[in-house]
Amino acid sequence: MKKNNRNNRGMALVIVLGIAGIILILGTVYSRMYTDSNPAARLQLDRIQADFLAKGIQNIAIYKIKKYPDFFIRSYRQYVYKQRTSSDSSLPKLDSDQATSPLPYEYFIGKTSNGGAQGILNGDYINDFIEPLNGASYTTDIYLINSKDFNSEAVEIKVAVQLKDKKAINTYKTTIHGDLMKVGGRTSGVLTE
Amino acid sequence: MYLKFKSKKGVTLIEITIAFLILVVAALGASGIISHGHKATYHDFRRGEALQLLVDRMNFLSSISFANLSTDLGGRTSATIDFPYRDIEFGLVTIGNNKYEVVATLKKQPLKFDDLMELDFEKIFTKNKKYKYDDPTTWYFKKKNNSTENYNQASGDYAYAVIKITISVKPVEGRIIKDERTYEAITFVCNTE
Repeated sequence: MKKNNRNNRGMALVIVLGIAGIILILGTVYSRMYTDSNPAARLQLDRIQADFLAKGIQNIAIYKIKKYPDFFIRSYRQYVYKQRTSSDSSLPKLDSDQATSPLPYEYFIGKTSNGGAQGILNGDYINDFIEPLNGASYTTDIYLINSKDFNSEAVEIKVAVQLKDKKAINTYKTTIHGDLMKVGGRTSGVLTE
Repeated sequence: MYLKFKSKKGVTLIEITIAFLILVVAALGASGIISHGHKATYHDFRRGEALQLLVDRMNFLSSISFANLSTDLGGRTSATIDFPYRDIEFGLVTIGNNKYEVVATLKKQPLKFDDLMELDFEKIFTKNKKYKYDDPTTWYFKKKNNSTENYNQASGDYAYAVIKITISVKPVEGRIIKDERTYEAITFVCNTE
């Protein structure tokens, strides 16, 4: 009995150190869980802000197309035709008054001749337009999608948003059936990411 | 260890005392970490609720048509919503034990579209081309006389066709947590009907 006591001496320290170690590990894991979730929550806010800003810009793009449908449709078709002439030599080329730089379609979407972007659809805003997201930048591209087999056309609007001091660029795409772009067509509530 | 003590008496007491001290120090440290983590988790929880409110109210307001928002704005250029609006809670919103200040702002947003163009029938005539609605080689564009249209109240039909929606959500009261920020987002609703 006495021999057993001699062998057990010092075990209390070992046990306590073990328990203390376990407690510290649990605490550290718990603390680590918090530090992992904190940046995730910030990213979530960035995502929400970019999401709604993009939807707003898409709405403005739809508004512009509906306000100037002739300018958009014809300039887009001429733009596509010019692209085709570069690969198909049998097609008559556009003359210099038509193949301007920028092209009319590029004027519509706010692209400059040096590849830059301007206008309200490309973050070229004034005053408090996107306050409180000042410093955010965005660009917009608009395409007309033909689907003759289904006898329909659709407008695709792509908005890329980059918030201030953020590396991530979130891109949002929406497709709207051509019928909805006609006068009287309701476009509210059809936006999809 | 045993051999160094001349007497066995009191050894167990010393062991237990040292072990107890170590346990107390470890427990204090761990409780500090756990407490910090708990506060952070609580902070995260409130942040999650605030973001949820932000998305919910933003979806609600952006689903209302431009016509209805414009009617509610009446003759005002902007309005702050910090009271129940269309049966949805704004102002002080309570979820469980937590309270949030949810404020929305509707603002008639003036904007301008630059470099607007239209078909130039005069040039089509002088180029001796017969205009065809489906032939891009017969289309010429020119800048509109008023190539930059400003949308403001004075321009009749084009008056403020865009409404900017800003929503801010701020956690209030509850437990005292420093640096709780305000969560904000914006979007635009246009007259696309």
